[in-house]
Amino acid sequence: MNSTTRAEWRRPSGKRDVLRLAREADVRFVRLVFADIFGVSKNVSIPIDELESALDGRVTFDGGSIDGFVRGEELDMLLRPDPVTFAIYPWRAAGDACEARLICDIAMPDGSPFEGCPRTTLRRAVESAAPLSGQRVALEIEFFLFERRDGDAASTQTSDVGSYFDFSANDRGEEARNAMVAALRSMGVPVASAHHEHGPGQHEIDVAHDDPLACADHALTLRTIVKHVAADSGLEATFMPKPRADCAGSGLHADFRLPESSDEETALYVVGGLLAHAPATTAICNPTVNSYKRLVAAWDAPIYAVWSERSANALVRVPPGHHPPRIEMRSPDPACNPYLALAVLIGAAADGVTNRTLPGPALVGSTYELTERERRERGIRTLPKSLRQAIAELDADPVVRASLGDHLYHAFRDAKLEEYERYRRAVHPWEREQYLRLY
Amino acid sequence: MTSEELVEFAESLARIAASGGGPKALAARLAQAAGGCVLLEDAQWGHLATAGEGRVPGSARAIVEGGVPGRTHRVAAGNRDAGWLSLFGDSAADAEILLRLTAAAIGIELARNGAAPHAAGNFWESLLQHDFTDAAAARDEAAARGIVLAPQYLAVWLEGDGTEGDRVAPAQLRAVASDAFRAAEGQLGMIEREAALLVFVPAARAVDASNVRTAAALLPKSLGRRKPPLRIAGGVGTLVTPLELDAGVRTAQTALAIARRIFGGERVAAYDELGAYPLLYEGAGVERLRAFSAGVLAPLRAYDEKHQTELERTLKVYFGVGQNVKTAAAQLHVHRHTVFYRLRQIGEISSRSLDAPHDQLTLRLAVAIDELHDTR
Repeated sequence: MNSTTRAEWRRPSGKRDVLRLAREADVRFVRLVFADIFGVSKNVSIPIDELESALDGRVTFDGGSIDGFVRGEELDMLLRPDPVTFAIYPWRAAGDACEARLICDIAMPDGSPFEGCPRTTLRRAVESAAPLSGQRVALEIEFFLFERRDGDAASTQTSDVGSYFDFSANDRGEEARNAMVAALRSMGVPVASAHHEHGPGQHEIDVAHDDPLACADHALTLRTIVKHVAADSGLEATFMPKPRADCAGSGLHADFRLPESSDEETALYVVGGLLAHAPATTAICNPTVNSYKRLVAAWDAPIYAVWSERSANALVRVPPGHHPPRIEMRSPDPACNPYLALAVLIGAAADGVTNRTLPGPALVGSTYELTERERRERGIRTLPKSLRQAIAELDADPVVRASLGDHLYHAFRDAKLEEYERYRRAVHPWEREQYLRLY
Repeated sequence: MTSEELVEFAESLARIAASGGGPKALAARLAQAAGGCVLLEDAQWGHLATAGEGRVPGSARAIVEGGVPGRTHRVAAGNRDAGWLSLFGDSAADAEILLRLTAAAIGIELARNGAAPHAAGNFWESLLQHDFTDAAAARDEAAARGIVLAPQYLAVWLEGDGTEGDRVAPAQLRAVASDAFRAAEGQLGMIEREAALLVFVPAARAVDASNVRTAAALLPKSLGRRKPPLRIAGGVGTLVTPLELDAGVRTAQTALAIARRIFGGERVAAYDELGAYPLLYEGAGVERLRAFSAGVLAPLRAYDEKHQTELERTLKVYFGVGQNVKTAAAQLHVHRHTVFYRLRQIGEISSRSLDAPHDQLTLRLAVAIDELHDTR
């Protein structure tokens, strides 16, 4: 592993800085990384002598072969590396070669920004959210570490029986998590803390506040590093939202720290916007059929669009006493595309500020105890219960659709409807257990 | 649109007018046909109605007076200017024609009903003067004037603060109120009272009432940031039905009077959030005192019953020992940290801060009344 600590690490400022750092570290290969519409990390690897050409945005790839990019005219798209994302992987490639990465925006063959690029979409959303200019985002990312079993790709076995903040000295998962944190910090990901989560084998790594684009880059990096280090430790890391029915699912809480000039009034409007658009943003923040098995009335998962100062199961939590205000959105899960999730949440928040949307009174106590009448009187809406419902909410929300842009909205919608249809047609083990002998 | 479709549109407007649908229904028909959203304002840019889906600006005044691009048409009721009809985000090719036809229909409707905005104003005056025998009669008269009555309203009394020269005029207050309460589901009612503006804001649910109170409370600060700043004060009354609007107005005035005495100017206070002060200001008999105490302690009692906790007892002991946590802990046989924890819970559940003098007064008074009159 590379021993660079965060204190030694600094973001490169431009092309010359990247070339110098690559030369000093004797980098042999550079992965040009980008996210598809589902937030899955893709890359094109280039030898070091192509780095300068790559930094000039001259590397192309076949856009037609990437999910969600599929249209004839999108072939031979350009990768536009962002120099500030240059980082050296803390492992060695074959032949002991040092390997680095650059995260890229995607451009059309004529150099214009590609409408379906998630990173460009987030960049645009941040630029459009003028009233929230200067906001920063932190992420709390949960995941499970399961035992790796030959021939069983979907094992959920773990020898770990720890729970919240447990200290288990003999836990392989904990050792792996420490290695993950060290690797992440060496790549410039500002890890604030890490701990054992509620479920057996469940862990959380918290990424400190950063600008929204960098924050989404960190999430992309974190998923890659966690999976890689887990595999090195003989474990399987999964960001699947709800791998086991008998314990909590994994969330990806986004903690927005509003700009310095913000006051409680701005915070109210941000909360108002987040709640008003919550049913539609759910489609993006909770993008799999499995996501909705986490959003149930258990283990403090949010199920209603309600805010609170302290309630652990409210959708939006505004911890008191912070200046500038902090606002935690608790519904996203780690299967989301972090670029798109932050884009729609920032769009919703900015819409709340622009239209001065008020969120109603803060809730005290557990949201699970709200009666239907109380919810009606308080104007509290239920979050979608399925991916299909969430897509219907997305269809009906022009603000969230505008945050995505036409291309991404249609590509995402079509792909997710198709995914839902495949799920609907599948016969699940639970159905056989319930009905095979009964009927 | 073909000429046949335009004729059908005009006929549909005539049908709506004939069936007493009123201006709001006509605006809704325009929104449907043009595929955008519609804003109807009176001649002084006071909000009358919105229809359709999408974003509607607070006023179309900038389009008419500021040369901002947009689609707005004057509404004439006979030979009088009755208001402005505006269309936003439309997609129909003949949107301009549809807008003009609808503006004409609304003009006829308003002229027939005794003309336009001040007629609507008269309606709210009639409500305040108890001119209607029952809710149905009030609803019918409102419908005839293009007003859809909401089940409940909050009366908001707004007036300019400051010296005579720079005091905000009621006409300005109209624009401020239209903008501040634009999220309200339904039409706002407005009446000018010398230098003040009385606004009736529909609030069908608890959350609507809460949002109206919050929007009103935020007004002085946001207007104070304008250049030049506008200084206002006001009061928000209790939630009332249309036939009880006069009671809502009285409580709004009381809230303003209390806020001026207790907090000084530039504050819009809600009667329901002033705790013990209305009681002390207006005076009260035993029944009202009991109701006040029971209302303040109700959230704590409900919580205690549901969770088998001792929040009410803790509060009483805490006050009884002069707010000494250590002594209270000894009397309750718990650790002092438990008392701190319970006091924080009491604050959250009662929505009152034990560190705020005004909230403390309310809780102390509620406890004292309960001890004297047993409000359970």
